[in-house]
Amino acid sequence: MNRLIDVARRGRGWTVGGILGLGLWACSSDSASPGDGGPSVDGESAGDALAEAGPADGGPGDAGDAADGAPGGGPIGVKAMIISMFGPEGQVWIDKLNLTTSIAVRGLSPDYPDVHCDARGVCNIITGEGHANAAASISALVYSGVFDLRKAYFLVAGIAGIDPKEGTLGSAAWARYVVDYGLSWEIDAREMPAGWKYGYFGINTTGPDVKPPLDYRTEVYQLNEDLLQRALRLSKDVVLDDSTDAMTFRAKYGYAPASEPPKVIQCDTASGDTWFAGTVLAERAEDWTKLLTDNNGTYCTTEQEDNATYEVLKRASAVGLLDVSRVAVLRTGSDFDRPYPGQTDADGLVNYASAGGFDPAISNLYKAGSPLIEDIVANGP
Amino acid sequence: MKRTSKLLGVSVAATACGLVALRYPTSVAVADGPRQVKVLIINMFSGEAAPFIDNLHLTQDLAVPGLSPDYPMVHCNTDDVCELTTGEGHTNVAASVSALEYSGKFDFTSTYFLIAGISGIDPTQGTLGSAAWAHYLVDYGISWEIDSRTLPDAAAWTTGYLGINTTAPGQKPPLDYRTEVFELDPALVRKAVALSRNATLADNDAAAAYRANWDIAPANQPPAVVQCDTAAGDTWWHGALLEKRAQEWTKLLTDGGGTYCTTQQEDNATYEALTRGALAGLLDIKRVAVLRTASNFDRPYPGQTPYDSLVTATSGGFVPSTQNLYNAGGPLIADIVTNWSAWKVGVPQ
Repeated sequence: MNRLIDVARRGRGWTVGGILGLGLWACSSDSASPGDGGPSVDGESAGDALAEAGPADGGPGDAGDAADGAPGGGPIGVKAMIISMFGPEGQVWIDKLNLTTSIAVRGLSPDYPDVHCDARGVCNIITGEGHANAAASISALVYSGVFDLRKAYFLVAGIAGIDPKEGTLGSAAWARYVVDYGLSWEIDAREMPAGWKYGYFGINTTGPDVKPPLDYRTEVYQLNEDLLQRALRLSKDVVLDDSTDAMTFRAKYGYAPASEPPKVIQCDTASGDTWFAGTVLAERAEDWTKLLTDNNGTYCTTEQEDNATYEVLKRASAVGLLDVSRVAVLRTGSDFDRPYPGQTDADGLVNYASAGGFDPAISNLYKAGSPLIEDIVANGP
Repeated sequence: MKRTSKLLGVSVAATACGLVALRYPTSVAVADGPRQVKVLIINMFSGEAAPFIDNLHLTQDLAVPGLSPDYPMVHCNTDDVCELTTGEGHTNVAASVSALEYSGKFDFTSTYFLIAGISGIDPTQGTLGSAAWAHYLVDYGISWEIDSRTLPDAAAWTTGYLGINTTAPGQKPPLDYRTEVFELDPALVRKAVALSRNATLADNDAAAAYRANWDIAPANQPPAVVQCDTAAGDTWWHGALLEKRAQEWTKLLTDGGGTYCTTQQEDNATYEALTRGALAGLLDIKRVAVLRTASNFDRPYPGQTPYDSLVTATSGGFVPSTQNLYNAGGPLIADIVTNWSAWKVGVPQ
């Protein structure tokens, strides 16, 4: 979720001018780019190509050497695929991990046409924002035949709005549940039935407290608990980035954890194309998360993609291209999902860029996520 | 978009049973390379697919990896007309359309795509069973929202929805997502409207009785083929206030060129996935048509509450809306198949 007008725009301009101009194209000369779309371009489906290749025989041992993997013709082995949604989220990984090999994949966002990898089998894809872009880009990736993802771990890593009762600017939250906020009915709150807290309620239900039938199949997912616990354990003592602007802003909340320094936490994420803000709609995220997880989940971050990303990975897992039990979701707080005491909903939303959380949120994607990445590379299956 | 509430379970179940009894699947050889396709019909759920599968005898089934587990097969006939059912919502359509186009099992380089689904309709533009060809696809969901009871300024804020990275409703946002609005090829829209203008649309007594609750046309008239635009959002909104936002948002994102009339949950995501395929050289994005038929109104009739209109009412529009997908879309499909030598080059003038 692009959560800072000024910084994000600056980030995008910098990404195009700096990275595409200097890094990506420079790398392309010695990259493993299949260019023409890779193995799928001959009309053979990725599913067929990988199914015919048989089970992965080596895991991380031969999943490495990404930079050398493609020219010989076989799919590039991947140990960890980091999924970002826009330029700055991806750039922090590209810079810190030296993901200097650019691999063009047909069907990716025209803003982000290349996957970036290192020689160890760590890669990054930037999908573009919102459900449509996330699903379209991840689909293009998994069906491309360019990569062997059967042993890969996936780290969805993006910034988000955060519930001030669960975290603060810069907080890094590992999700157990991924809940779709958007797949709902809505009546404008000014003409909803008397006594309702908000106008959102489940499709084909009679009110906000009724759990809907999960007819879309994309409404809620539970991630692998072992992977979640390992990610938490590996990152819990990490010192997260903070900023003086963020300190000043969070002090206005007057209660913890909003007013405290950021930490690594476990709580759940809600995705929707509509980027809501304000107390009532944020409370709906809390209630909706409880409802869809049978009271097991706790909402804390809001973003625009993760259910779409997970659904595509789940579909690809069902046909043997990857293992959906190897998906972790990390969201860091770039702004609050509701105003501080005395601030209006509208003011909190349109001035979200002033919270000062963008830079630490971007930085903390790497700080909280990299211990897991390094563990996967060092101790892969 | 399933716009049926109580009626849905009955209708879909009946349709599914009919399909099981009537279809005679045959295997499709792909050893000779990708299957050629003249027309791909894209539906979102089984109730939308059944009229095409039945009327066009789409009896060839082809499994494609990555489709919805509810709809794992593409259905084709010997005229090279095929049908995909995606599942509902932005996620499912983008996932299914992408899986199909990258599968390598089909050659879509000359294919015409007909997105055909049911929807809610603006009573100032159509009625139950109306068939609307879209010129513009507008994403309603890619927005900011605050609760409408906390609006800061009644003059500038008539709705809690506003464009991302703007400061109030009425300001056109930067189109950073690239999926906010799409314009279809006007030549194809004109041709589709011309071919279907005189089509006989299905109607029924229940829909006729329900639409009589309106005191305005075209809401209280029999259904017709119309040209007006469609808004997509995972959040299925209902009521006059959110409808007004759809009208204004469509004008805003199309620079005044579009007119909102139908609401559904998918089309911008479908079109984005096709756009990606076009950029990859797999298809021609100018060959996409979007038809939405009305299964229900998008707001209550005078004196009815939004809740009753959305949750408890049975409008009777579901059956005619699904039938009219074929009644209005069929002439375009037939013309493409019959005059393929012309259509293969482009939309005939």
